[in-house]
Amino acid sequence: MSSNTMTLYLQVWRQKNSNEAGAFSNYEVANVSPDMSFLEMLDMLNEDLARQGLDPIQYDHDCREGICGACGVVINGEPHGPGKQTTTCELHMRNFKNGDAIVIEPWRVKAFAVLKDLAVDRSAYDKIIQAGGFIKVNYGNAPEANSLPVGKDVADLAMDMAACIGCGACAAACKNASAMLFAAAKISHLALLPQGQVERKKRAANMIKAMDELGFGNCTNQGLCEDACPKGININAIARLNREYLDSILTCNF
Amino acid sequence: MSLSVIKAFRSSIFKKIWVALSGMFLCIFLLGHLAGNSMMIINPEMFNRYAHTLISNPFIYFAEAVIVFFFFLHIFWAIKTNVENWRARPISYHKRATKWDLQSLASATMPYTGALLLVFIVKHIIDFKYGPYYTISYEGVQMRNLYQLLLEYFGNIHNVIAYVIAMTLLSIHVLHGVWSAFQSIGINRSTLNTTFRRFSYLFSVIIVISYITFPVWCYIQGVK
Ligand code: HEM
Ligand code: FES
Repeated sequence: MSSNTMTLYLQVWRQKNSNEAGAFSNYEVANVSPDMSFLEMLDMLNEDLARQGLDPIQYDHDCREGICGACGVVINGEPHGPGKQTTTCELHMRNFKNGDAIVIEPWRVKAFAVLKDLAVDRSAYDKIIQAGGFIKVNYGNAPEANSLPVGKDVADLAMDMAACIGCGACAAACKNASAMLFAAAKISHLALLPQGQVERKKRAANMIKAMDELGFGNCTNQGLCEDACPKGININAIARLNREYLDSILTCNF
Repeated sequence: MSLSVIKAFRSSIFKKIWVALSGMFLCIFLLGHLAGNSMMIINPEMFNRYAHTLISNPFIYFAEAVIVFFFFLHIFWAIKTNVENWRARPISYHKRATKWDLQSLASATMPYTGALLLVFIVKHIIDFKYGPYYTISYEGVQMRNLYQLLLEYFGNIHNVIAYVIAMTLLSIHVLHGVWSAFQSIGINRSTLNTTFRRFSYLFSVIIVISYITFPVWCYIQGVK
C-alpha cells in the first residue's frame, strides 16, 4: 500500500428493517486510498465485516457513474457528501483527510422508509411520476429535427430539468423533507416541451396531489435542495412549478 | 371539479400562496403604518389629528377586520405548514451541515421570528391601542393624545430596547419573506431572481432603520 492511504473513523446508521429502531455503529477503516470512490471505501469495509462473519452495511447503488440516482446517503450532514454536483458514487476519498470522522446516515424523510441500514424505499418518487409525470398521447415517430417547434433556450432549459435522476437528495436536504424540487424538475421538463402540452394542465394538479398525500413536507424556499442536487437543478424550477400549479388549478377545464 | 379545486386550496402549494399573499399584504400594511407614524416626527398635532381621524371613523372597524383577517390567514397557514414540515421528518439528522449566510438564517428561523413577532404585536396593541388614554384638544376638538403616550412609553429605555429588538426580528422575517413570497406565488424566474433578492434586502433595511427611528426619537425628546 502506498504511504498516502488514510484511516477513517466511520459512524454508520444500522437498522435491521423499517419496523425496528436503528442506531449508530462505529467502524475504523484503514488503508483507504484517496483514489477510491466513497462506495468502494464502503465495499472495503463490507468485505472486512463479511470476513469477520458480521452483517455488511446495506446501501443502494447501481450505475456507479452518477446517472441512476440509487446511491444517496447523507455524509457528515450533506446528501451525497461534500462537493458540488456529485453523487455518492462519484465522490472520491481524496475529499477526506487521514483520521477524519465521518457520519453516514440514510435519507431522513418520512415518505422514504428505511429498508435496511442506509437503503431507503424511494418508491414515493415513483408514485409522484405515476400520477402524471409522463406523456400518454401518441406523437408518432420522431419528427424531422428542424421541424420541432421548440427554441434552443427552451430546449436547453428542458434538458436541464430532465437531468433529474430522482435520487431523493432534495427531500433529504430540505429542512421540511419536501419533494418540491423533484416535482418541479419533472413538471418543468414536460411543461416546457411541445409534447407535454396536451396533458399539461392536469399534470401539475395530479402530481402535487400525489406528492401531498405521500407525506412530504411543504416547501419554504430555503434552497437547501438546490445545493444538494447532484444535477444542479435550480429552485427557479419551483417558482415555475408554482405557476404551473396555479394555472392547473385555476384554469383547468376538467 | 369544484370539489377538487377547493381541496387544491389546501394543497402544499396553496398553503404557501396564502402565507405569501397575506405576508405581502402585511408588508404593505407596514408601509402604511410607517407613513402614519412618521407624522410624529413632523409635528405632534398632525400626528394626533391623523390618529383621531382614523379612530373616530367607523370605517376603522372594517379596516381592523381586514388586517386581523390577513394576520389570521398568515399565522394559521404558517403554523399548519410548519407542523406538517416537522412531521415529515420524524427522525432528524445526527449531523447537519449548516449554512451561515444571512439569507439562509433568516429562512431557517421564519417560524421563530414569526412567533416572537406575534408576541410583540399582541403587546404592542395592549400598550398603545388599549394603553393609557390621555386627551388634548385642538381648536375645541377633544381627542386622544397618543403623542404624549408615545413620549411616556419610549421614555423608558427598556421599552425602547424591546422595540428595537422586535423591529430587528421583523426585518429578518421580511428579509426572507419578501423574496420568498415572489417565489411562492410563482412570479420568480432566473432573470428576476437577483432583483427580487435585492428588493427584499432593501425592504428589510428600510423597515428596520425607519421603525427604529421612532422609539429612539421619542426617547431623545424625553431626555431634552
Ligand atoms: C407584520 C408582520 C409580518 C409580516 C410583514 C410578515 C411577512 C411575511 C412574508 C412576506 C412571508 C413570506 C411568505 C412566503 O414565503 O410565502 C412570511 C412567511 C412566514 N411568516 Fe410572516 N409576517 C408577519 C408576521 C408573522 C407572524 C406574527 C407570524 C407567526 C406566528 C409569522 C410567521 C410566518 C411563517 C412561519 C412564515 C413561513 C416562512 C416559511 O416557513 O418559509 N409571520 N411572513
Ligand atoms: S450509483 Fe448510480 S448515481 Fe450513484
